[in-house]
Amino acid sequence: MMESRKVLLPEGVQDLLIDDCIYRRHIENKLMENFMQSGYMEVSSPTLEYYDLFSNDYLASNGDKMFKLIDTNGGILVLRPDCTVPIVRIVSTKMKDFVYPLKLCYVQNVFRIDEEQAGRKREFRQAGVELFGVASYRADGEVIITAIESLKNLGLENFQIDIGQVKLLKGILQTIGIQETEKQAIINHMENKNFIELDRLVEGLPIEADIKTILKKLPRLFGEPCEVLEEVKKLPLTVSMLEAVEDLEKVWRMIESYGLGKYISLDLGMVTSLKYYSGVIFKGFTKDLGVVLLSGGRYDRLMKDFDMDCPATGFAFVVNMITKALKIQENLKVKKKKHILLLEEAGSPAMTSAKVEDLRKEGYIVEVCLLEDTKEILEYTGRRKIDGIMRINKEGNLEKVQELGGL
Amino acid sequence: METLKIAIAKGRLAKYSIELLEEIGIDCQVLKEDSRKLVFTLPQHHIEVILLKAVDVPTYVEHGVVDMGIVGKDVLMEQERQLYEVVDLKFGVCKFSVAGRPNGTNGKKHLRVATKYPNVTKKYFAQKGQSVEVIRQEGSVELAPLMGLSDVIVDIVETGKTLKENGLVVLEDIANISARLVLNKVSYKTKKKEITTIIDLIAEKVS
Repeated sequence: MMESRKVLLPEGVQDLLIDDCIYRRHIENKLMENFMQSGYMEVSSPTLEYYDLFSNDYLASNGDKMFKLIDTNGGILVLRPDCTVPIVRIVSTKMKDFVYPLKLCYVQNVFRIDEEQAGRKREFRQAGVELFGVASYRADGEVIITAIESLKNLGLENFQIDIGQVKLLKGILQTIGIQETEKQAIINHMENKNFIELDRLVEGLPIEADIKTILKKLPRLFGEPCEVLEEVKKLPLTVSMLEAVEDLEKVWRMIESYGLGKYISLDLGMVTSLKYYSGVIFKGFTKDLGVVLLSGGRYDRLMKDFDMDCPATGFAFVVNMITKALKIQENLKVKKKKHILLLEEAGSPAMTSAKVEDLRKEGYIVEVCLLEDTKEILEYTGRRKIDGIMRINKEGNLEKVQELGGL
Repeated sequence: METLKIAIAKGRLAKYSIELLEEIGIDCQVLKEDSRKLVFTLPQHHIEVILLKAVDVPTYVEHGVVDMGIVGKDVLMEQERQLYEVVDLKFGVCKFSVAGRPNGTNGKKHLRVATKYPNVTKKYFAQKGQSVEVIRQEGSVELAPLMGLSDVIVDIVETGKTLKENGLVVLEDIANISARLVLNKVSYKTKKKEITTIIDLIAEKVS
C-alpha cells in the first residue's frame, strides 16, 4: 500500500508535462489578456479559506465536497472550492469603497471532491470574471459577451451559450403553498428534464391550473431564442414572471446587437444547484465535447450574506475542459519559437553570452550546448526537435553548423 | 446530420432496447448477429450503438462519450448521475424491494442489509429512520439471510421466483423500476434536432 503511494497520485489530480504546460499557459494568458482588455482587474485569493466563509445554504449542497483541514487553533479550513465566494469576501472587506462598476478577474485552482463540470478532476483551474455594482441586464449581457469573445479569440468553434432565468422557477415556488420536499422534487425533475415524473408530480399538486401548465412547460422551453420566447409568452404568466422573461430577452437582444446572437440559445428550465444565483444564469458548451465549459450568472443574493446590497454577476471557465475541446477540434495552435543549439568553441564566454542575448532578443530559443560527444549532440537535437545548430567561430561571428528544421 | 451515439445496457434490457430501436425504424440487424463486437455503426441512420454493462451506461452518458443511453431506473437510482432522464420506456419492469425471512425482522432495532445497491439502501432506511449496516454484495444476494450474513436484503424483484425458491418473501417495496431513456445534458442542447426526433418516436411507441 505505502509502496504504491510513492509512485501513484491521489485520485483526481494530475501532473502536466511540457506541452500541456505550454497549452495551459497559452490558454490562460489569452483568457486573462481578453478579460483585462475588457477592463477587468486581476485579483488572487488564497488556497486556504475558513469553512465558515460559506453560508449554510452553500454548505448544505456543497459542504461534503470540500477538502478540509484543521487549523492549529482548531478552526476548520477548506481548500478553495469556488472562486466567487472568496472574491465576494475580498470585495466586501477590502474594496467596498472602490469605484463601481467593479470588474475583477482571476485564474485559480479550485478543489472539489467530485464535480459535475470537471468530470472526475478534484483539482482544476478556473478562469473567470466578476462584475459588481450593475443591476441592469447590461451587466449580464456584458459578461456573456466577454465569455463569447474569449472563446472566439482562443479559436474554439461550434460553441453555444445557453441562457436561463432563475427568477421564473424561484418566483413560482415562492408563491405556491406546497411542501418543501415537493419543491425540491420539482427542482430535481426540472434539472433532469424528467418530464414524466414532473408531469406526474405537478398534476397531483393542489395548485392553480395555470401554474401547473407553466411548471410542466418550462423544462420543454429550450433552444432557439425566438421560438422559446414566442412559446413562453403564450403561457399565462404573471407580471413578475413576464418581467423575468423580458429581462432575459433584453440580454439576448443586447448580445445579438453585438453580432454574437448565433452563439446563444435559451433554456427556461435551467436550474442550478448553487442557491446563490438570483437572476439570469448561463452555461457554455460545444457539441464536440459533452461537458460544461463555462458557467455563471447573477448572484445578488450572495452579496447580502456579506452585508452588501450590491448587484453582481460573473462566470468561470473550466480551463482543462476548454483545452480538451480545443484539442478535439484541432484548434490548439501555439506558435513555437525556433530553437537553436549553440556550440561553444574554446573562445571567450563573454562573447558567447553577448551573442546568445542577441539571438534571444530576436525571439529564438537559444540553448548553449552542454554535451561534448557528436553522437550525443545529434541524438539530443533529434529528440528535442531543435531547428538548427550554430557555433561562434574564431572571428566571433555566428555560423550555421547544421540546419535541421530550417531557420 | 450529426451522428448520435447510443449506449445500451447489456443483459436483461438489451433485447427490448434493440426491439424498440427497430420499432422506430432503425435497422439493428448487425446488433443481432452473434459477435463479440461492442461498437456498431449504422451509417444509414447516422447512429452508433455501443453495448455496455448496465452500471457503465450512466458514466458514459454523463461524460458525454455517448449522447444517450437506455438503462434501468435501478442503476440510475443507485448512481445519481447528472443526466437528463426523459422517457419511461416501460419495459424491464420490476421493483426495488426489501426481502427477508417470512417472519420479518422481528422488530430489530438495528438491521444488517445485504445488497448490490448500497446507496439506494442507505437512503431508503435513512428516510424511515431505521438504523442499518449495509453489506455490499456482488452475486446472489438471496444467500445472505439464509447463511446468516444479514437480516434482510434489498434487491430488484421481477417475479419473486428466486426469492421464493430461497425461502424469502418481500417485506416492503421501495420503488418501481423500469428502463429509462437518458441523455447527456450537453448533447440534448447541441444536437437537439436529432435527439428530439428520436425521443418523439420513442415516446409515441411506448405511450
